[in-house]
Amino acid sequence: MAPLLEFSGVSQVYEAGGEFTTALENVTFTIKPQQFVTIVGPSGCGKTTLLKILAGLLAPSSGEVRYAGKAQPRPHPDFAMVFQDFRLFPWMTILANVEFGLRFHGRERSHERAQDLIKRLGLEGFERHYPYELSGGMQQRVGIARALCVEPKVLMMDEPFAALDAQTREILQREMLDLWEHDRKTVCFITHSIDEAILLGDLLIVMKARPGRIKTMLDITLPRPRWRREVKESPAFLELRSHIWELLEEEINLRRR
Amino acid sequence: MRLLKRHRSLVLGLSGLAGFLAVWELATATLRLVDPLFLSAPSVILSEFGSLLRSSELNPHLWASLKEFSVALALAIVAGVPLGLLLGRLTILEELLDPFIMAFYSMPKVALLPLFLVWFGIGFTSIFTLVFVMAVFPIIINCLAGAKTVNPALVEAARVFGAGEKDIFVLVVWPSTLPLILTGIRLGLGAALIGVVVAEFYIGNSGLGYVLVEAGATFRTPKIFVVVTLLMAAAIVLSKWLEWIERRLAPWKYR
Ligand SMILES: Nc1ncnc2c1ncn2[C@@H]1O[C@H](COP(=O)(O)OP(=O)(O)OP(=O)(O)O)[C@@H](O)[C@H]1O
Ligand SMILES: [Mg+2]
Repeated sequence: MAPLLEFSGVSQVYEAGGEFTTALENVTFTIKPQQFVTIVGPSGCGKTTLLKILAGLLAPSSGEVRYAGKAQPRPHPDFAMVFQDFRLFPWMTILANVEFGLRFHGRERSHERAQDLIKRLGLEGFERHYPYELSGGMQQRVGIARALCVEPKVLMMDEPFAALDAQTREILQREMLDLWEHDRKTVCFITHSIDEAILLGDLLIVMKARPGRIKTMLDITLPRPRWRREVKESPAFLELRSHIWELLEEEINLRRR
Repeated sequence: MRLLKRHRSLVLGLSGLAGFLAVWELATATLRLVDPLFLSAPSVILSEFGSLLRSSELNPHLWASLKEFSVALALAIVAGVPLGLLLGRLTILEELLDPFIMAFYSMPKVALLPLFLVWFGIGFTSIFTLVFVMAVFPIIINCLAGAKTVNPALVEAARVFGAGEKDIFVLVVWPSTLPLILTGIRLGLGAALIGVVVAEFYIGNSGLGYVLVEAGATFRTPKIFVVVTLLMAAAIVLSKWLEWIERRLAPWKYR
């Protein structure tokens, strides 16, 4: 299958107050259509930077990103993003937040689609409420609904469940997977949780500590759905998990020294 | 009982006010503890208000003050809001003008009145200028702060979904600035009211400030109280009204 997203030789150097930080160094990989890619790496290794470049929010210092074979200097209408810190618009109702992206897609008619997503994500009855009236878990459901509402071909998620408690996180992970099995989008999902990365991903990218580079890429072939006990407690799952643990530990120790 | 609980602050506020008026009335009208030259009884003030209404003696003054107040405030809004927003978005301009704005914002602007009298003579222009200067700075300062409170994370979120610069202004910058614009207008309004009264103390032969000075000079204490009460009521109504608008337009700010 032809790759959908290509990252070739991407480097990013930030300058702040005369100091230079190399956030990414020569990162190259490809993502296939409908692939669920999860990315793990030590804190500050450039995961968010990578996603921003992928989304077209940030032009890399060098290297190139291609989407469907074309370079793309600004956010593509096929993309949508879910943020770690939700980023709902506080002056808009839940419904207006969910429908936010539609206006840029010339699709005014999708009112039903927003309603449908609101129902599917358990937000019914809150359409006229404002984000501050919702719990963190509900706010992130709105964030997910907002992203899905534009029917993106590529969904980018930057630690979307990190700010949530364990239970809410598990519920949203399952919902996320249900939605994904329903209409397989290409997903690029950043996380701090190894379990989450294995549960969700087809392809798992492990990054090196700063400057961010790719350490390992692993295809995950465990049968889905993976939260079933027989998968989650299978030797294959546990082995994979401890393998990734070790890889990350190396990076963290490297930095400590 | 439940009704009492729900409106507790209103009920308590009104009973406090009623008690205060009762004591005042008792001390002045009934017990005559205070010389009526210094303090008029509420009943006397009320009947003075009635007779002023009937003679419509106050009308031209009310009208004059209203005109000065509204023309100057409107222009302060029209000039102050865009200027404040611009300063908030253009750091270079802000840095350039910061000393002037800080100086004018902090200083007691009534001190400039004699200067305006020299420049513009005794008349509407001087009053207008003072009221404008008093109202415009709180508006500028708040709009400037408002333009700075725009959260870059939200701008980024809008951009991901395909928003261009114009969309970002309309959908993100404007709504996040609006609450502080309204706060600026509310503060400007209070300042304008002070400006009108003070300017009329010194200038002209009309307006509520003039009525106050004249009533004082002729020892018509009840009339002073009527005008003071009117000003008080106007200030409360206007600022409550703006507060209500703020709450309507920016409910997320009042969680
Ligand atoms: N706008 C910026 N200006 C300067 N330096 C930046 C900027 N954004 C990020 N950095 C730096 O680049 C490096 C990578 O940041 P990034 O946010 O991509 O890391 P991350 O992997 O997402 O971290 P985390 O897991 O903590 O979210 C960090 O050292 C950070 O300090
Ligand atoms: Mg990050």
